[in-house]
Amino acid sequence: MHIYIFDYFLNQKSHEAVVAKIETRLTDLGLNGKNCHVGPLKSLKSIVKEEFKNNPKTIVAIGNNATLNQLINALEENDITVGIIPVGDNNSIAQSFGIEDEERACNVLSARLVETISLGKINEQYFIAAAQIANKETILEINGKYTVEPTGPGLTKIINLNADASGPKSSPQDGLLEIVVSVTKKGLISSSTDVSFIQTSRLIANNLAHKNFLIDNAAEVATPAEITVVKGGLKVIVGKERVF
Amino acid sequence: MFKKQEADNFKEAETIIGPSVKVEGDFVGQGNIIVDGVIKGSVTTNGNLRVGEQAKITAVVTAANALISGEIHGNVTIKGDLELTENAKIFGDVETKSICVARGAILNGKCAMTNNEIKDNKKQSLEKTEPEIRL
Repeated sequence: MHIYIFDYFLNQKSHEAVVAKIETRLTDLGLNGKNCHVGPLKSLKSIVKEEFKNNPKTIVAIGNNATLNQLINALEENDITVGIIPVGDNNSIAQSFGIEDEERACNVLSARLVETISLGKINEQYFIAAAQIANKETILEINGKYTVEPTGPGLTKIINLNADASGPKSSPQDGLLEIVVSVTKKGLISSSTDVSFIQTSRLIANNLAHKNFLIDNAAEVATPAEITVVKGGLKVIVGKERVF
Repeated sequence: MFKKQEADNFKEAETIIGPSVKVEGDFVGQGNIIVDGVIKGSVTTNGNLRVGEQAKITAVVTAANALISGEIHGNVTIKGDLELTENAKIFGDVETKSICVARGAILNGKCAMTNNEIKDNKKQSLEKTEPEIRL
């Protein structure tokens, strides 16, 4: 059975039409299941916990990157296939799965092409795409063997799945995380960016300025943080136009 | 000498240490590495190593092949080909199978030419000819 979890922001009137459209399309495709709506007294985590009792085959998040991130963290280590129907902004993960909009997402769910991907794990939180932090006062210890320290302002990204088409290639199926350190150099006329690129499966990151990591553009995680990769951590329904 | 070959090899670098990054410790890579930043400790890779003009390495360096344009303070061991461009500066001993040094490059240290393949073959043939001892 499919469980559809509609994120809290979809309760707004502006999204009424989209939600109705999705529900109709799912019924047309014969994919109807149980619809659950996140509300002020009902979190996504509590919905997932409750629905575990019914042994669902598939749980579909309807929302954005934040919805998907909450879902994978609520699943714990249960062997459930996950789907996404993107609505609104901040849907880079769905796009890298080859799912452009809600209508195509319903067709993708119908085709049910399942891929197993790795997940990034930062302390006790999981992420699909990336964890990022400001360069300032950040030190990375890679595999306990060496340290990497950016010497200028910019952004350090730990990537599992590269949702940004302009960035380096990163497969969520190779069991490795890509560390991309971008340092911005301001010149008199224009500024340039130096990029460093390292692959690893484990690192410890610390920020002496007590800045937090932002995972999947959705949640914050405090430093110091141990970041690892969980091989084959998630079964996900993807489209043919996926980036990996 | 092997510039074109090197250029092809570095198309798929697995690690890039940019000019604005400082690395300290035992840096171990499996693939091709490009270094343009600062490294202290040791650098080891089974793949190829390219050291850019801005790079400053204070480390023991081991790689399959290397193209050096920056500064290295430490011993360098290359299994295959080593090329030093006109901006290269090496302060340490070098051990390699073949070397190409451009005019202007600085090499302060001993340079030993070794042929690992020949060494390996000799070792194997010696091992084969050793009589078996039976009790």
